[in-house]
Amino acid sequence: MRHRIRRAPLLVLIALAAAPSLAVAPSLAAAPLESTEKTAGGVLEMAQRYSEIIRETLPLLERRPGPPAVAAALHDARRAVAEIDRLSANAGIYQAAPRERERLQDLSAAAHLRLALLETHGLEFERARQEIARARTISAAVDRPEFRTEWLALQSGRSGSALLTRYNLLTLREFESALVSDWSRARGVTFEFRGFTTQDLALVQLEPATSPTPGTLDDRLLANGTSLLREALDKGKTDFTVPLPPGVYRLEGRRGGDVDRGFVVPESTEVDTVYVDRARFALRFDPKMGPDRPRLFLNGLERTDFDTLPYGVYRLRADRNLYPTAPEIIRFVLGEGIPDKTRTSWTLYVPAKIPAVLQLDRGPAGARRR
Amino acid sequence: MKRAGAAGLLAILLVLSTAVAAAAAPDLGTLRNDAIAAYNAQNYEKAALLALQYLDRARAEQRTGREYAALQFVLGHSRFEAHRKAGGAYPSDYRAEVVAPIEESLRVLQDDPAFKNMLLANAYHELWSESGREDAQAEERDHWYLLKSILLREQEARGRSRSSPEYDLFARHLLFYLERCLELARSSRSADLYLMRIRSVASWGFGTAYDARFWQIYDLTYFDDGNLRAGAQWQRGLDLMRDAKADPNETLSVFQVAADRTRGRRDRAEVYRQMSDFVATIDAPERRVQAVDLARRAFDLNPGDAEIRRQYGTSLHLLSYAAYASGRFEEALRKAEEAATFQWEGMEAAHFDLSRAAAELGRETDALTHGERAFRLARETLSGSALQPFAQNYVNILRQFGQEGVAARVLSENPGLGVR
Repeated sequence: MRHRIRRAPLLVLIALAAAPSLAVAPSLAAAPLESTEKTAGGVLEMAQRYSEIIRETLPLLERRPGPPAVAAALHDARRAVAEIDRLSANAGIYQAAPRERERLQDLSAAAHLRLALLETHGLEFERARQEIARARTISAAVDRPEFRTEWLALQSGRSGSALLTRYNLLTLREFESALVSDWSRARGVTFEFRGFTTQDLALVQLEPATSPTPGTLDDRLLANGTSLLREALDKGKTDFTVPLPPGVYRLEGRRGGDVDRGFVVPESTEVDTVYVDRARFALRFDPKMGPDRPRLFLNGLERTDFDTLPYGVYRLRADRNLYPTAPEIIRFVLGEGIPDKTRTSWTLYVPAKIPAVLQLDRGPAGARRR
Repeated sequence: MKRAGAAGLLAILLVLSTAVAAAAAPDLGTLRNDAIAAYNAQNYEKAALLALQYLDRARAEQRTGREYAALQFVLGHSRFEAHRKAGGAYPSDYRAEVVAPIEESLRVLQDDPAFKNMLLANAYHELWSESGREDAQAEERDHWYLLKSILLREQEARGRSRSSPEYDLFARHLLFYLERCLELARSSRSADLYLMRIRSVASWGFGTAYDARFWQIYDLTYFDDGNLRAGAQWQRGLDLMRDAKADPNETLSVFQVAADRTRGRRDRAEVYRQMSDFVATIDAPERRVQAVDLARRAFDLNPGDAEIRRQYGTSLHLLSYAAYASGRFEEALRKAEEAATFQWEGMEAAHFDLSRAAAELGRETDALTHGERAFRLARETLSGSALQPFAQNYVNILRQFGQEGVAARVLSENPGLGVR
């Protein structure tokens, strides 16, 4: 004979630490619970409930949450979306009417978009992209002009009065643009360290010139980037890329050591490789130049001490009238090699202890001034 | 003792295991039926052993499916119950041996989902607790499975009257969930998420038999501008305060953590006020000093709050009164002077204390001034027998310093007070 599993008595409640006047610690009897997914209506209601749970998570993002809170919210949201998708997939079993199926699909698509927002705040940009794509696949409704999804959720309320949640709603196109703008905050910065021991690298610290406001996307991006940089350096890696939000940074090594490099991560322009080499070189300009000489910027910061320049990728800012052939970028590489010069970019090899000479042709305007 | 309990359980399991192995190996169907029968009879040790044997053999035969999942559930739940009964730390890998079978079973067999999700949440909760409340993954799952169980139950209760037995049961489950949120929030780095959850679902419990508790928890989400990590700790302190069996020092340490976590001055002051109020109810001299210290901290943070001023003033009055009664008049005077430096409801007591102590120390002007002020202030709010001590004190001081005429006038103006 097959035995049916009878449910054991429900687990004893943890003591409800209530005031005597609020003594509410009755045992939770194991009342039989019927399946909530018996009908298409029930499935729809359940999906709606999961969808609300994700939506009601959104005000968290305006409370400047730390990475653990965003991670926990993401965990719930991913599971809730999976539940909605499961319910939607099972709709056929309950003979859901076309309208009900459509409603389920709409709920599912909206949930995926909310998840995209949460994925973005969790710095999972690729997943966010996929969620948007999935929403589009599930329901065409999201691309309709009248469709709106939540971008911001602001809560206000106080003890004894109703809680108000104000949503800032966007069309999918606006929503996507706003997300892309967030995704672009993570600028991939490539680091190359040369001539340092593993011990030297382990002591390198990244410091932003100004810390982002705690709990903001930039703050989480910085925390994430710092952590990835730390991980790479601790493993002794010398070439790696980490995402960082735009800003001014400084790499500092052990006290009195050779690592002390400032660099800028620009908002929109290309991010130059942060090349950190123990070696230095001296640079001479040919012909000698006066105050109108080109200015050299290494990772966004101007370099004026031409006797001890670090190797790396420099951007040149020159008056085009005076120096019409000056490139935009000069890469100074340690060692010997044949210079590689294009109209905008030069690679110059500078052997150790030998000064580099930068020859720039003067244009007619420059010649006249001479 | 608890470890001995767990070891004892292992010994029993070992004996049972040997005994079962000694018997002729039953077929899988019999094993399954015996495991389920033991489970239904709540003989969890036996059920766990039999289920484990079933699963080992089924695995060897590469069997899977619903029946396998059902026995996984029996195994996980039975181990869970046996561990709860034994107490102490789980002797081996709790996640692999208890949590995993239940979770894997639930992936395949989703009957009775509200109960099973709740059970899984509790299994994760145990795991989280055993990790020193630091395992973020266990915390996330503990919360998620319990939330899911609540959402399933809510759908069943939807449309029912809030006074119906069905809704009442749902409300108790909901309360269990909210209490769990608070417990998790106290140790969590993601407490803000519980803030959102409580705000989402607490209202489902309004209008039920536990309405007040639901409101209490809901209101907590506004404590210190939604700082639930502090708020949950604060609530824990309040609950302990009302628990006659709780150790007062433990209660105070819980409150202290709440105060330390609080960001806003106003709410931190309120925690200190509550601590002072709580300490003042404990009848011990050192507690009276502690009550003043805590009230002073509250006052320093939020002197504008009338309740805090009253707490501070009252605690100083008690200290001054005790010092006076012990003949330590200088101390009584100092405490009373401190209580008279700010306005508070009941501050006539401070002037009363001041006048008595000053009189004992021969400080005529202070004694007369404050005796008169105490009586005047008391007359504004008190009458009859409550006013009598103030009148009597004033008359006594007047007489002590030779002002018989004024004393006689006070007596004649207040004939019904019983002043001698």
